[in-house]
Amino acid sequence: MTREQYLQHLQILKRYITEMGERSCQSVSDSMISLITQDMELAEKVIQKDMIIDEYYLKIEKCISQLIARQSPTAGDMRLVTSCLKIAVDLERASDLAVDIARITKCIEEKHTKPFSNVLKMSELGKEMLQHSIVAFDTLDEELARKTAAKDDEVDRLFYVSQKELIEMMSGDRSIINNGSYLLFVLRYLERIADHACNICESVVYMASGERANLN
Amino acid sequence: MSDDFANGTEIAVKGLNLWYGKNHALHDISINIPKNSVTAFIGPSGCGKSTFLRCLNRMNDLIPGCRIEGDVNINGEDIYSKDVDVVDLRKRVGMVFQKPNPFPMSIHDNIAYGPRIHGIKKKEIDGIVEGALKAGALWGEVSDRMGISALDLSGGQQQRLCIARTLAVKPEVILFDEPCSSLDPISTGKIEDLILKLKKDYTIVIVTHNMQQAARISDYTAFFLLGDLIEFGKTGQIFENPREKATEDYITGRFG
Ligand SMILES: Nc1ncnc2c1ncn2[C@@H]1O[C@H](COP(=O)(O)OP(=O)(O)OP(=O)(O)O)[C@@H](O)[C@H]1O
Ligand SMILES: [Mg+2]
Repeated sequence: MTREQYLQHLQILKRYITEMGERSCQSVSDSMISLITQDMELAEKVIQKDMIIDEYYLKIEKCISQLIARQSPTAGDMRLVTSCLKIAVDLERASDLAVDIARITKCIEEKHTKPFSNVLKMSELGKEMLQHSIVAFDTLDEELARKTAAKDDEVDRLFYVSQKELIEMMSGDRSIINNGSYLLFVLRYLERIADHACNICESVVYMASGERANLN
Repeated sequence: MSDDFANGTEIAVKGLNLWYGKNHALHDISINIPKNSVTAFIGPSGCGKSTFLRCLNRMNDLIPGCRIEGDVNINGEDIYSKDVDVVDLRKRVGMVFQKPNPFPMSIHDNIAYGPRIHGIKKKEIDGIVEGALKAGALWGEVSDRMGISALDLSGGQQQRLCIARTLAVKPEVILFDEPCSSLDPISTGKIEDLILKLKKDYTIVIVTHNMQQAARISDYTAFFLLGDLIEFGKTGQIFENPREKATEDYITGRFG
């Protein structure tokens, strides 16, 4: 019994998730570039492209309800299907956070923008985690999922350190309060993007092994 | 009823009523069945699925006391018109039953039977037999023993033989009445895969009690209840969000 149509349907679902994942990673990456280079056009692009990501979410939701209603997936297929729904939510949220960062690009006052080395490190890490979580999903690589999620500790550490530094800087120089408080939000958003990557890694572990791991 | 099917309508039924003596078994059925798709008929036992299926190739003509009113058009032709050749109609609209019913003869002759009756030349027969068995996904299992009796095949193989026999006369429509109900899951899977392949070339209507089977293989689903057609729509819609409460109750197993 091959159930060709069913297997194709599962493949389509997986492809939607990887495509959505690539787009989310791109949004996160572009939003940070727009912030650092003060590129308003790029920021606008991130905001506009969120619509496509939302469409992916709807497509995935539809695909999954059809699979459940018509194919009664079981065992590993069932873990795949329920995990995909969760992953799609995480990717959708991560993209929303990228949009929030792009909106901040538009609010920041140019003259005071000062590259902040820890913010850059956090954004690199967040991007990488999101990317690797999608690779782990695509290849059902439990080990990569666990390794990727483990990087969240470093993101959290950077978050607290940078937050503290930034607040100290702001209390020393009131002229940077405007930009500084926006940057505080960016820190928070990056930290949450990494959390979503972690959630995706947990879903991958569940898909691969059936174990409900708590990785962050 | 609107007709927005991708491949057009194959069978158009309008205002069909059927009586077995005084028993009014089908009430004013109107439905368009799309070409090159799989349409499933579901509904509780006795609701009229088989009766309606038999209306589509006039098998009910054979039942004494059966009276039919209404229109059935297949590819634009009124199949109840006086000048329709019923034998030719049943060749165009083939039927596969619940229990495999091979003829008590060799595999080869089972398939060759129809084409011979319809006057196909001897030298073409072997090619047709091979083609039909391949299309019926049975060739690989029987090609080296075409002479053995069809009754020596397994139930699942017999059912695929019956499908191949139907294909051998090149029908336009194939009606299946619970074709898998006497088969194990593996044979059922083979028949389902086969049906999905066949819809490229044929219009398929299948009666099934297996809701999951209807959900898996059909493009459209019709739900019957006590002789009424309650709901007809895309299978995805019927199984995700039926319009009628009776349909929902039936497919979720809350009936009665
Ligand atoms: N040959 C017949 N002569 C008289 N009445 C019949 C005949 N065949 C069916 N009926 C009646 O017509 C009604 C519909 O029967 P039908 O066999 O079409 O139902 P069905 O939906 O196919 O049921 P099942 O799922 O059990 O096969 C029933 O009331 C049945 O008793
Ligand atoms: Mg029946």
